[in-house]
Amino acid sequence: MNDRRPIELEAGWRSMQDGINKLKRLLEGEPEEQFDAEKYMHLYTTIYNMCTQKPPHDYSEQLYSRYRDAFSAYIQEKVLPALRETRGELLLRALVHRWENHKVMVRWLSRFFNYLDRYYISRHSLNTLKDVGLIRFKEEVYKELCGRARDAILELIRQERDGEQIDRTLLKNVLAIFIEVGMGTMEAYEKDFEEALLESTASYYKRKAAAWIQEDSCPDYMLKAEDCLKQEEERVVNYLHVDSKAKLLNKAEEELLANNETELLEKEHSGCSVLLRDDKKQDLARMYRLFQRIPKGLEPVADMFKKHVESEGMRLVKEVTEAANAKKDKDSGKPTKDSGSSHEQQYVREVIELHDKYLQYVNDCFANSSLFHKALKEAFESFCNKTVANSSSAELMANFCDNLLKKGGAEKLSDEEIEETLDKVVKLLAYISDKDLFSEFYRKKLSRRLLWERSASDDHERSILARLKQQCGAQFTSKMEGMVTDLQLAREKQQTFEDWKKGQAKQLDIDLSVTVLTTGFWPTYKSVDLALPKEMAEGVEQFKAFYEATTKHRKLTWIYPLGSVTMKAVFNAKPIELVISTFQAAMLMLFNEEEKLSWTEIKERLNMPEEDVTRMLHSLACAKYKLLLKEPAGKTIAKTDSFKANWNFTDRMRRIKIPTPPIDDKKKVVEDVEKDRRIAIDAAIVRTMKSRKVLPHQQLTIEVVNQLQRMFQPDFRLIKKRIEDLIQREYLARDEENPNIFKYLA
Amino acid sequence: MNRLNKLQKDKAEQFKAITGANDKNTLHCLAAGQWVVEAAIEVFYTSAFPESSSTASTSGPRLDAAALEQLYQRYRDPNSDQILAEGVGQFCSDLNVDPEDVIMLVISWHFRAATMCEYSKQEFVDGMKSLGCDSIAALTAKLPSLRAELRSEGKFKEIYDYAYKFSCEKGQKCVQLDTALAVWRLLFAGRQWPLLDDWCEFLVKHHNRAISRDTWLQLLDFTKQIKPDMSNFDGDGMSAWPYLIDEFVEYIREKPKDTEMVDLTGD
Repeated sequence: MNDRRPIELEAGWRSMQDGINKLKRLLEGEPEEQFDAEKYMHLYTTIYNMCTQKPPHDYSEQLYSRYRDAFSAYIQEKVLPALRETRGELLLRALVHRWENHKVMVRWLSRFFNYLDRYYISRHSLNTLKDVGLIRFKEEVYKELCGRARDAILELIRQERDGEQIDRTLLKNVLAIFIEVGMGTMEAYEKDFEEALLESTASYYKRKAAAWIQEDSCPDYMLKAEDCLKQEEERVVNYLHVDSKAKLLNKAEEELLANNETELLEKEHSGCSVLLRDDKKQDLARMYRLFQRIPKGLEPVADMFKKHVESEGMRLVKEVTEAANAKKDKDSGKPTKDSGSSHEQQYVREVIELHDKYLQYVNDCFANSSLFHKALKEAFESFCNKTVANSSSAELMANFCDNLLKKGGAEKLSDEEIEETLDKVVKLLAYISDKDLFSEFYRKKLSRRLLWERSASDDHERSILARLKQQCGAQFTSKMEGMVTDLQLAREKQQTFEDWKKGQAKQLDIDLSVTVLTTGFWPTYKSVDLALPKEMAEGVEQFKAFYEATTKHRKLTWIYPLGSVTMKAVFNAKPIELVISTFQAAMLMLFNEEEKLSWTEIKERLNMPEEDVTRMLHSLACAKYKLLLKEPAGKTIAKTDSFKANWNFTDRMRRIKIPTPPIDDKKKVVEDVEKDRRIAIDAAIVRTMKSRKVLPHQQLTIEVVNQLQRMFQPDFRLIKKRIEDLIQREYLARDEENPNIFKYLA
Repeated sequence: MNRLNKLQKDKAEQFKAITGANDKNTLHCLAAGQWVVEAAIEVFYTSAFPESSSTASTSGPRLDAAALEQLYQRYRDPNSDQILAEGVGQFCSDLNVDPEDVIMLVISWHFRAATMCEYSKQEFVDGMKSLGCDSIAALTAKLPSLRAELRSEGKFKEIYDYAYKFSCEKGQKCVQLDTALAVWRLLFAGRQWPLLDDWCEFLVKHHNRAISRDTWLQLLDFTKQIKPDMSNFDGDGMSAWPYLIDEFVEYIREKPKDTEMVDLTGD
């Protein structure tokens, strides 16, 4: 091989040029045979030989640059002139075509020159043959034409946005050039195309949004916006690079949604509040879908939702207050019914319905989002703590429960419906800050149901307690549970008493049933030292004897006002069974011995408080059944009146019940709650200070509120007063240096 | 003393007249108070000077115990071993002082008297000794310096604090409102707190109950810290002022302005 003559550069190149020309003709689509293996081998070998000759005949360097120039020559001679003549879509087509050709050319030429890659290029760390080919296209074709191509693309995109059909494959192919010339980076795509795309997108939608916001209703606008965003997403899938998705959508969202949000939501006849008013759930769901896309986009929606629910709630409050006032004017003078008027019952029912409705909204329209749950909560908290028809919601809810649970209160409802309603009331309780007030009213009602056997179902009683316990904690229901248990124990005790009585020498003239309760569980009742009729007094004595014989270390307090009596009254016409209170019975029995008694005599004989004397006398002499005759006759009781038994009384019934007018104990309940609150605040302050020893006023207040807000929302001023009271009582002292700091005095 | 200029000399004389301090202490205090007499008085009473007033500096052992005993007997109640209202009245007239004068509060404070209008023998005798006086004349001479103590913030606070306990009726923890109002008027007479009348009026109208010690003490801070227009009062419910003061501020803020009333009537 040594004696072989080296191939001179020009001679060798001539044969390469032949090959290149043949390739060009092929690319231009002129008639030409394909390369066969022999031709290819010949070209390859030529390069191989020219690169492996000893210097000065090693032509690697020259061949490398001529390789490059071969591309430039083709581009300048054929590619650019052809491209420069085209415009718009045609330009894009031509460009794609030329790019395909160019890649073919690179593929072939780089094979011919392949030996350069192996040795010369790798040794000198030069661009590979393939890169050299691509760089030529980028430098000479792409650089010149990318701007025009971009404009053409954007024009096509605009056409598509305006609803025209375009050649998406073409766009995909053109954009592939932008990506490929980046040679592994996205720089060219981003700088030469994407930036302009985003800009044009923004200005396109800015223009559209400006027109739509004027012309369209809010729902229509949202439909269009949603459609646009969907199209943009498809656009990315169809021909854009996936990296553009977020940026593109951002732009569109910004123009379509963010920049017009306030105007859109507040549109006068179709904005958010109108949609809420008209129950346009689909549109609201769309609103949620759209505005969840932009940062903080949902906050104004949630806020409007809150305001709407709040105003709906306030409407209920106003309606029931007006209804109650109207009723009061009508019935003025008459004592109010105990469990609240039907309006107030209706109010609680409507609040429940309102809650159901908007909870459904949160689920269906607002994707169960916590933001909207919060808005719902705040709205309910706001109106549920307003005064409703001179009562608190806490009281109305307790009354509502009472109506559900007492006999005859909810006959129309099935067990399941009652359970469901109870569940909902308990859930509403979460919005009431005065839970202690609810508890107090509830206990009051519960005690009535239990003591007068007015509870419709033990199961329901226990089930609501379980729910309350779950929601408000065991402390909340411990007394109520105690009451229910007490009653059960009392029944057992009564049985024991019956058995015990049989063994006694002295038998009573009456049947006596005693319910023994635990003081702490029940509301406080006033104990009146009533002068009982002899028959009853004997019963009391006997029970005392029994109780002392069977129990130790317990003290019995008799609450006569809670007692009831069934007695047979022998009237001139016929005997009638009377179901009356112990007070009433004691009063009537006076007339077994006396024909006529004055108000004062009755009071003194019975040792009964004045207001009770008047109340009882009214129920017996001025109400439906006139068992007593009053002198002088009249509708009201005066302290100067005197009374006689009405022996001529009769009624078509054999058994009658004489109700006692209820006493309005609302004020007392509220007072009790206030007292309990003072005690609870004191305890919380002392508890906190005992563990922390030294604490600034502000932190102490916050700590106390945190501890107590499960039961009620303590007033700052009240806390302050309690702190001062504790200073007075020397549990606390102010720091000498800083009067804002309190110290615990052990 | 000789190196002082005329103005300084006047101040030094004034200071000495008030405090009864010696030359050395006078100069020291005036220098520390930057030649403002009020400030110097503050320095004098807050620093722990040895009893250095000209009359008392060396008088401790020289007090005439027999004279004191005699003085006590002069005022003592004929029926019990203490000085009661009548004796206190005599004491005042001997000192040529109105019993309603705030100076009697200062004297009682020095006597550590437990109750208004009463001195036990111990309170009287030990009190006189601690003031370095064994005669009415000596005490009379000391009155200006005692009066000056009211002008020292530190002393005033102590006297103010003492006044509460002093005003409590026996066995009571709180001061009755009318007593509190009278003592406040006495104490604040020399201090120019423009809201004093409003405060008293507010309490009579809206409180009308005894005053707690906490409220009493905090009021002094209130008069010092809060501007008369309440502009620097933070009433968001999170400040630690007693609620009575909160309510007072609210009362003042809601009250129609006097000036407007004048304008209306002036037309």
